[in-house]
Amino acid sequence: MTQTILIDVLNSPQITSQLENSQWGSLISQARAANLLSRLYSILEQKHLFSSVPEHIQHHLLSAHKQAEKQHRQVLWEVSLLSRTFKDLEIQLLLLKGSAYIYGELPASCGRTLSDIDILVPKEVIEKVEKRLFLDGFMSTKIDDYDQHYYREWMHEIPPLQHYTRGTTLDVHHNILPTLKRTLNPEKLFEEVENISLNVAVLSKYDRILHSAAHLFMEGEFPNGLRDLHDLHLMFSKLNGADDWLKIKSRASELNLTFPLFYATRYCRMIFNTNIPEKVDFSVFRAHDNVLLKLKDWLFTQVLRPHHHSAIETFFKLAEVTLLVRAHFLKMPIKILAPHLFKKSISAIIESFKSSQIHYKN
Amino acid sequence: MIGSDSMHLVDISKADALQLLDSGSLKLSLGPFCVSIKSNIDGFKENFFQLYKNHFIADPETFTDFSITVSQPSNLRRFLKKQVVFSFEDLQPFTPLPIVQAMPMFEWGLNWCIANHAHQYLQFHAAGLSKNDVTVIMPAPPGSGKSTLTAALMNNGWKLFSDEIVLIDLKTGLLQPISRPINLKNNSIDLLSDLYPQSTMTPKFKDTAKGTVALMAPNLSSIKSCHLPQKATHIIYPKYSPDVELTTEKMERSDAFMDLITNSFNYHILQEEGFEASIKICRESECLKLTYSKIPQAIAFFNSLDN
Repeated sequence: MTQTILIDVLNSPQITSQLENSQWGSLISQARAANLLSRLYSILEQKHLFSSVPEHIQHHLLSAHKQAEKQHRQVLWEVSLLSRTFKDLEIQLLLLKGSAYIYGELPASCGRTLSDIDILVPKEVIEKVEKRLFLDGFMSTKIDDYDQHYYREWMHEIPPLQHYTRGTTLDVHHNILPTLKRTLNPEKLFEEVENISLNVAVLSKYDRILHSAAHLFMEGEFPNGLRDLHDLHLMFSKLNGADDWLKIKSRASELNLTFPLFYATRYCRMIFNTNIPEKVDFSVFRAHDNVLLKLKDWLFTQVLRPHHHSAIETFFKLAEVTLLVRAHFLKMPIKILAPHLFKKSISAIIESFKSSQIHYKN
Repeated sequence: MIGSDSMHLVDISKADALQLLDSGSLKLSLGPFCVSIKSNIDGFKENFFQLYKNHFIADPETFTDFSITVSQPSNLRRFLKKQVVFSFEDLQPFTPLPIVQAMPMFEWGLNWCIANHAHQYLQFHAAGLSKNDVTVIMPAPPGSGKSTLTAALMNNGWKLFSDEIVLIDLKTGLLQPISRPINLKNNSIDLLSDLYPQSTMTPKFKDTAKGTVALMAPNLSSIKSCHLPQKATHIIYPKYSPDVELTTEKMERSDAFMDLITNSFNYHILQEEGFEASIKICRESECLKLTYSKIPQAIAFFNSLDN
């Protein structure tokens, strides 16, 4: 058993039959910290191992499962409401990530939890959509003018919307990548969507993987990094042989997303022993800078683990900060980035002095 | 499970108990849960020992359900005013509070842990009490005098199951005792310390989110019967109303059911099994509304249920 017992168990669920109480403790804590507790339940259940889990530990797994089930029902309900709104607008409702996996009953829906519903709409209708969603009760949560400006000017989404009674958070995107520096024509994504029901669609099976990979390896925050990598592992495992792999590689190069795909396959193999055909290699990347690649391996394997004190190593924080800075450089040119970071650090200091009342943090 | 030979916290010396709290190696059995507690805040450690000294120490090998730390946050504000933060594992679900409120914060935080992570139980925001063959669920909104009544009953021979969270085991349908401190608010604090000077009560914590609060420790007999779940026999909705004579009114089971589920923490998560369990409790219990002003009258009424 290694320090990251959660990864060991996800890879070989049968080892749960030999765990002692203290190991179960680490496993449950790590899974909870990584938002993978309900997935762990689903995997043990699928492999018929759940019934032999000690009863007092079953409670924790089953509780997480019940909570995930509740979220799944909520997603179906929210999507049914949204699809009516979008039908009125004569726009197709295109779901992304968690809500897409769940609504489409896709491989990565297994025990998946989520904190918001992500959707993609064409940029030219985003204002119309936002206004109509407001009438339905969805309001902007970021009230700070600077944040509003930051999102609208430089991001690929508008500030998160929250429903005023149901509390559901909705992220409306017009692209899957930040608009600065990298260009990706979202029309190409719309061309290939898969219809799930009347007027509700998800990205194609290749684009779903590419989006998840781009999100994971270009965004700079990793509290759900291991979960997202496991989503990729589940999606990769459903690809069918060489033909699918050729197609996803060519789609990646068409969308200019080859490098996130390269990282996704590399770390899925490294961490989850994902079965990816040997022929799928990216020799261009591997050859071009071996030292840099070694450094990235170190950085990513530091953060792609449960963010729990039992699983992280000494230089975890350093890796986290480095990757956050890297992500900002990938997103923004330096002349925008520098003032942005300055502004953010000043407000963080001010925040830490402000008084606070008890309330639940998001 | 707790054997009769298990150790109470008070059986080790107070100095040793505080030392265990400091190092994070203190594990207690709180009803069905094993909770580990770590803190280096002196005031908190004192209050904690006072409230939990009669609880059972868990075997170090037991699986820890909730691992909790009560500590000072590491933000810049600590240089201006001392604060306290509640951590469940590595997660800090609440914003910090003034350091003097550490003890109530622990209680609220542990309630939050249970309400969010123990869906093997149907949970109600209610008090639970038991005497002989009678077991009562008392759901009630704040201000109804539920905690005052609960504290009074505990000091008159009733066993405290819980003051804030009633747990119904979904497998057996029985009420699971947990015996945690009673959360008293505002005027009821002086009233109860006058009535029951022998009870163990913390000093007052002022200006909390719930006003002034004080905590009363569960008594030994309540703690000792924590391993004995009971079948609910009564659901009683108390209402304090000044200067009235005690009256009771039979409730329609359907009304009692609706009131009960609006007081549930996890009915929305449990769905069918929550519905089935709630229906069963309402069917099999006597459902009453109780209006009272004088505590002795209320106690006499509760005692009369046990005939």
